[in-house]
Amino acid sequence: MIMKTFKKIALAGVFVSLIACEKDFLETFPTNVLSQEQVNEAAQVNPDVSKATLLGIYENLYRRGSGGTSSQEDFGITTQYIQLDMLSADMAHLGKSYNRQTAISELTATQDPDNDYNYRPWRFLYRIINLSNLVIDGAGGNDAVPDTQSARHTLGQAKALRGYAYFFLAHVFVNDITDMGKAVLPIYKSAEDLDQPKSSLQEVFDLVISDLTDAETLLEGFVRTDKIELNQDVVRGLLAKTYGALNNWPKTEEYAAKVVNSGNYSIMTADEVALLPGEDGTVGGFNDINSIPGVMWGIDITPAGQGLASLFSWWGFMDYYSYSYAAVGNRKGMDSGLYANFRDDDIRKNQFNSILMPTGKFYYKGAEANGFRPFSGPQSNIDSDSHYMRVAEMYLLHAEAAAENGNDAAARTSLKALLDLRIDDSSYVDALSGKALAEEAALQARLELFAEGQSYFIMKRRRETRTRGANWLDNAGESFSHTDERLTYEIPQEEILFNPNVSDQN
Amino acid sequence: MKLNLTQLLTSFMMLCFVFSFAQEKTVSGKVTDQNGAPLPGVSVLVVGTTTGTQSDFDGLYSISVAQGATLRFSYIGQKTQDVVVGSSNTIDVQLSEDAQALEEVIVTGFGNVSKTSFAGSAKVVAGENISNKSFTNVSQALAGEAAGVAVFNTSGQPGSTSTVRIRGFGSVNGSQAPLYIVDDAPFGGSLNDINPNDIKSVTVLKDASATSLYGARGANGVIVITTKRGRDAGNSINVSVKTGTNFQGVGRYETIKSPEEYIGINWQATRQRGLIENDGDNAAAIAYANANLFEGAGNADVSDISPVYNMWNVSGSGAQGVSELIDPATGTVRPGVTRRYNPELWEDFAFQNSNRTEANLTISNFSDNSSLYTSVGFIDDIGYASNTDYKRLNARVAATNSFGDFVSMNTSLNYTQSETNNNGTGSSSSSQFWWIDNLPTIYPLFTRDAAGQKIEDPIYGGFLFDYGLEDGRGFGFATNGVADSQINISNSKANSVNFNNDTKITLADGLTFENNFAYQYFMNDFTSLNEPFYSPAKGDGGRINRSRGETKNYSIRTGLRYNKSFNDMNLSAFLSHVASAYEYNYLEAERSKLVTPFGTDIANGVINNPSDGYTDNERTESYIANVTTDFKNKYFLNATFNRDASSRFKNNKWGDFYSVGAAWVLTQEDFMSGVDFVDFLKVKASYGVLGNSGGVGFYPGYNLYSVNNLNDNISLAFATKGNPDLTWESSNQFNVGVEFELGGFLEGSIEAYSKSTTDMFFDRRVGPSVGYALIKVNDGELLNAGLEFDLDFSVVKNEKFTFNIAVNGESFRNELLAMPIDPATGEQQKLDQDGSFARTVGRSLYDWYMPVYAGVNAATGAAQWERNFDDKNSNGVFDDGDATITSLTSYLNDNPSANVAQELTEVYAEATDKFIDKTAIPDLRGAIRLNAQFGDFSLSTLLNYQLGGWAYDSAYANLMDNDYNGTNNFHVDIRDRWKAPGDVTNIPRQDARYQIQQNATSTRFLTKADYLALNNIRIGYSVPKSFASKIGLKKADVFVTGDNLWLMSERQGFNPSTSITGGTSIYTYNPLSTIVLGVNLNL
Repeated sequence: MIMKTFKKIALAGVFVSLIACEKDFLETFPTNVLSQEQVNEAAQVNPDVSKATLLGIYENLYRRGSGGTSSQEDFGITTQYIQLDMLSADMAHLGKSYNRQTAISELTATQDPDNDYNYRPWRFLYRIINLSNLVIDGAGGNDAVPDTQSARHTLGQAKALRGYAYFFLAHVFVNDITDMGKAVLPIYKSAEDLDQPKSSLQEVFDLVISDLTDAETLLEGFVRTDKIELNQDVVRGLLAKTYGALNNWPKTEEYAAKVVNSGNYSIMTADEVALLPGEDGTVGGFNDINSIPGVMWGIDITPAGQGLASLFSWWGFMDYYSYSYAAVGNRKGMDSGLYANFRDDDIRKNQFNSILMPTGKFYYKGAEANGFRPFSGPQSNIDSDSHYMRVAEMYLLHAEAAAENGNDAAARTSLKALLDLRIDDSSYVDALSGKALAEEAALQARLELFAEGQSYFIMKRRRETRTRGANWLDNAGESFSHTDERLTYEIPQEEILFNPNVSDQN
Repeated sequence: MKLNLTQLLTSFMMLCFVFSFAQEKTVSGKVTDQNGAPLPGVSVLVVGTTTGTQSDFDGLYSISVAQGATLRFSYIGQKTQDVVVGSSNTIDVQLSEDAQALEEVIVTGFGNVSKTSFAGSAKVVAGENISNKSFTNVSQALAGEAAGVAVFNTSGQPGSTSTVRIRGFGSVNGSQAPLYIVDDAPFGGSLNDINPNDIKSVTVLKDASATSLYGARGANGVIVITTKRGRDAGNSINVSVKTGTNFQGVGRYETIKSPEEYIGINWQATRQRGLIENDGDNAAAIAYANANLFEGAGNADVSDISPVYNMWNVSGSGAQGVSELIDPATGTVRPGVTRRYNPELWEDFAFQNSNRTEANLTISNFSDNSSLYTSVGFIDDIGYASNTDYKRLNARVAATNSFGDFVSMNTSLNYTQSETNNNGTGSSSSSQFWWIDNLPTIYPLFTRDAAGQKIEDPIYGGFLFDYGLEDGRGFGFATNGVADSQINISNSKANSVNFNNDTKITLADGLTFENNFAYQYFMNDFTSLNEPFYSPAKGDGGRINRSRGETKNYSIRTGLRYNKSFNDMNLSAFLSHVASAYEYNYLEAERSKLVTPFGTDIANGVINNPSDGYTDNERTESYIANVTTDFKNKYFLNATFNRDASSRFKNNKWGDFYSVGAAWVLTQEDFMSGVDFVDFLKVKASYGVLGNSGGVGFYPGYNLYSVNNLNDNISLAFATKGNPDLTWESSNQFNVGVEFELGGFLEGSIEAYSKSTTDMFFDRRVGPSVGYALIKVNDGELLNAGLEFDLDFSVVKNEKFTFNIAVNGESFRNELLAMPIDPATGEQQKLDQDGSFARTVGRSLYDWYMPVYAGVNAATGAAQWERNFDDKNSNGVFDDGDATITSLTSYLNDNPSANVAQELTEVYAEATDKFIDKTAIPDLRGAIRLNAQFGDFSLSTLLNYQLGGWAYDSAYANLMDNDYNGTNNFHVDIRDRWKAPGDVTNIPRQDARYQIQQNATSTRFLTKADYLALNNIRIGYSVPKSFASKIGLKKADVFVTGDNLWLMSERQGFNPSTSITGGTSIYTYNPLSTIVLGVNLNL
């Protein structure tokens, strides 16, 4: 009998064990990342989450790894700024410790499609496009005009981001930006689109202009909370640069003027842009965008951001005082030929040390407290900011475009507005007119915006040929046309292999 | 489905009750072998009926039988015995050995079967083969033990676990790792939790019919670990103590050790560059070399040797000083030049001969209804690299217990505490190994003042380490890997508890209810401290990071097992349900600005840094049904059906799998009885389809967003594209084999298999312009087909002397049969690149794809590579209109009619990537074991070998670079470089980086991966029993073992056995060499 009872208990045990697995036993959800479903669910109870995916696009502008690799040179826009400044010959590679970015200064990466230096900008910029398309699709598509203001502002930012990414791509992957008929880049206007063939450069620029123009309208009335967000002024600045690239000078002048005349930004003062003799360094350094009225667009890096501030940032590569490659022998400085253009009384000469590293221009907050010693900053928690546009660029672009349009007086006014903060006597400008005046404005832009990632765009806009100065370790004295194949990234091998509609380089 | 299964079970049980009602009288007893050890799985049959049962794990059986009937006890490898049932209700039987058969028992599928009856592919490794080696866990010790099992001991860090691969590479992007089963339960803890001393045996299951018994996740093979129980050792107490030394026994790369030779090579390189820059003018070149050997204003593109590192007594570091240092006629340091100081040989400080101590105490005993095994073990294993060690304390209790003849429990509880220090072993500039191999020998470990004297360290005592900060050391500027490894902390403390309980309840004759509950808890507490004064974190005032990872893993198996014997036939079947849950929780905190360099708690810092924490979960569920039969001990058949589910898949969680197997023992047939030479012969075959869910992450079905802080706002950045339809990968495995024993001197097996993986996990790449890089799909097909052999020769076998040679080996082919479909074209993708490997249909996963090195231009000394181009105008030279080909196969896919021509280039960026018809997969690899016994002395050695295969020696490439002066040390092969026009050599000129990318990836550094390694050698002496008993011992052994003592490969320092592709890294901690003296006492 005991056996029999026991059997029954055991049998019951079998039943229990078979039904022990709850219906949702096999359902598990992530916690360190979130699924789309979890995000949607959270958005229903937390209004901050609905904005979070738009901020997620912005985050990719500076996040490590947004270029799809684990490389230390993968931190978004400012990685590109460093590399483009080198490709455009304005920033000389003065030391190669740890071999960082040598494939750029030695011009080997730009000939080798399976080098990741090509992959990162492509992946990064098309990622921005894809994420923007997700927002645009969600808002009703390319032609939608949402009813609510906040929805219009969201759509406007997404279009502006998409336009910016195509603007960037059209410069760095296209050898000759005047060859408008050439098929150069796949265009994606929806996140649903797959494997697009190359469109012509004309179509790419048309999209950039329509996106930015739409954004300008949609962002009417948008008041941003952080400088990373694209507002109407930044969009107009981008439009001015785009028209500049097309050498549509009237439009360039028009849009640059809109920004200059907005009155929202002031040109950085002499104290702010350079460590002048006798200054203690508490002012300046380009490290805090919120304290610089001249910065129109940028990211305020905070120590609380997870892993966002470190060696793997513009500062970690460029700032002599930070825990950086610049401090351990991977140095970059101004091309000596470019430096020779500074007038004797230019306070910006104080931005450079004896080997032309920009040690008086960029320094992390607190460098002065350590006596501006190299390598004296913290290794982590570097809260130095990055900026992507400042108003000085718009003054100079306005001057350049106005001069091209024969509007010399307006050009001189804008150029002098800057130069009067940089040199004692800007009267030499009065002797310049037309082309020469435009050239001077562009040159001043290279001098003013050194190491700020704009020189490459200026080179292409001006259709220039640049010559590497004597202080380069490689190809010193050699000249490169703005159309030189070696100054433009290759379409990455992955695109050639896996997009059946793209099979050749530009 | 669940309901149906329940119904099925119910009816199955009802059927059993019918049998159990026909009872007459219950006879029970125990079956043992000739040594008195319990025999599980013995067939007990009532002669003349179909009634029968099998003995259980402890050899116990019980059967209903009428008095006067005959019980027949039969077991493979034992002589069959008949017993007439008398009045007693207890019949204990001791079987005797049948010399004709193999007696080895294979632990498989939650039960034991004899090797003879086993139709699958398995290799049993005796516990002593594992514990004889000086390793802390079973994975390292498996090297060479079984054909088809490749073990890569990736690191010398004490306490590290090895990568194990069984039968090739089963998947492109899915997991290739085997499943570990410990005491019948899937094991999700750390292998270090199992003391090799507690292991009874390890069985490697390789084919589908064997691995399917464990349900999901067995597609890549199963490693079954069985731990010791009280009955295994009998009533005994065992003390073993081993002590010995760890050292760097397998040679490192031969590098330039003399600072004078190093500086000479640099001078010659600078002169070479001077010749190029001065159109071959030798005098100008010498002047150039003298001016540029050391770094000065304006020559950063030639030299990185700051004058502070000019360690010679010459007048300076300019042209004059260098002319005093170097004789331009020879390019070497002039005789008589003296040094200001002698730079340290850094490895003298980083490396140490260190100790390994291991002690184990075991007590075991058993009685009729219970057995108990308790053990405590201790290991202190100190690495040869400074500040690397592993300590472990573990205790284990294992008991078997039974109540009456129908309930038995088998329970074990294991606690392990361990501590690891692994400072300076990462893949960064703080790697000690990068420093030792690559640092130019002109650089001192300790900072020198102007007089060449060391400077006292005011903080830690001793002398100030040189961080190369003051004037920019050309190598590792601002770091010092050896110093960092001394002053920083990287420490893990782990605590784990493993519990396993197995309950068997006999419900009726032959019918058993089984339940197994296994739980593994693992908590790792990691401390990383960067001290405040010298380390990379000195700018932060030092930094302390603490993280805790907690793993909880359990599995519950419930099932029924049914055994029945008929006259000539045995039948056994089981049905199981297995549910398992894995949870990993991570929590991290960090602070900087430390109060003291020694406090390892968070409170020691004052500035908060971002913290982090998350949980990963995985659940699996399986139903397993199996039927096994044998007929006349000649024919064996089994079939298994699995239904498996994994939480990893979103929409398609469930997969159905199956396997069948059959074996035929020919030597049991009459027609073989006349063949005396063949003692045993069995042929077997199996086929099955198994599932794999590993390697795709925990949540591959979802679109995933990372969570971040953007100026204190929530930022959700889209991170991963998910595939909700992703489901099980299928492994279709076919196995045939033959096992034999010939002429009393050769025992072995030969097996052939074919594994094709379908619905394969493939990270299908997309054109990145769509916004993401890849999507995980079930697509493509991969074939692994191979042959394995295991041969054991008894060369000499007599009372005094025995000598065995055992050889095993495997050879396999790996081939992609299909690539994933590109949805845009509906056709298979043509080519996929993964680093220097490329994948295409018809080639293996590991086919090299890289530029071809074309040797040295004898006139100029420059390195050359092959460059292909599309010669559109067919004039044989690359000129206008011709297209550059950077990737040959890719180009031909897009331009099938290309007119491919070839020339040589000295510009690496122009070289063409292409298939070179070389693979990383070897032709043959395996092991040779020699065992000799002479009286009380024994000697055994295990040699691992590999033939064929090509590996990329990147560590060597790094030592053959052409860079600025002072940036890296050289391999001694640099002495054979091109030096003057006409030199015929394969090593290009040194020219202080005039030719860039000289050592970039190409066939130049692709190296034959053949090797022969002395994995283990053991010399033992057993104290004669007569003497041992006098001092109160049952047994006493003394032995010396040596592990990893010798390796022969293409070049010293190149160790292809440390990674799957054989490749090397500049950060590798070469596996430890260990010599240990041990004593083993049995009381």
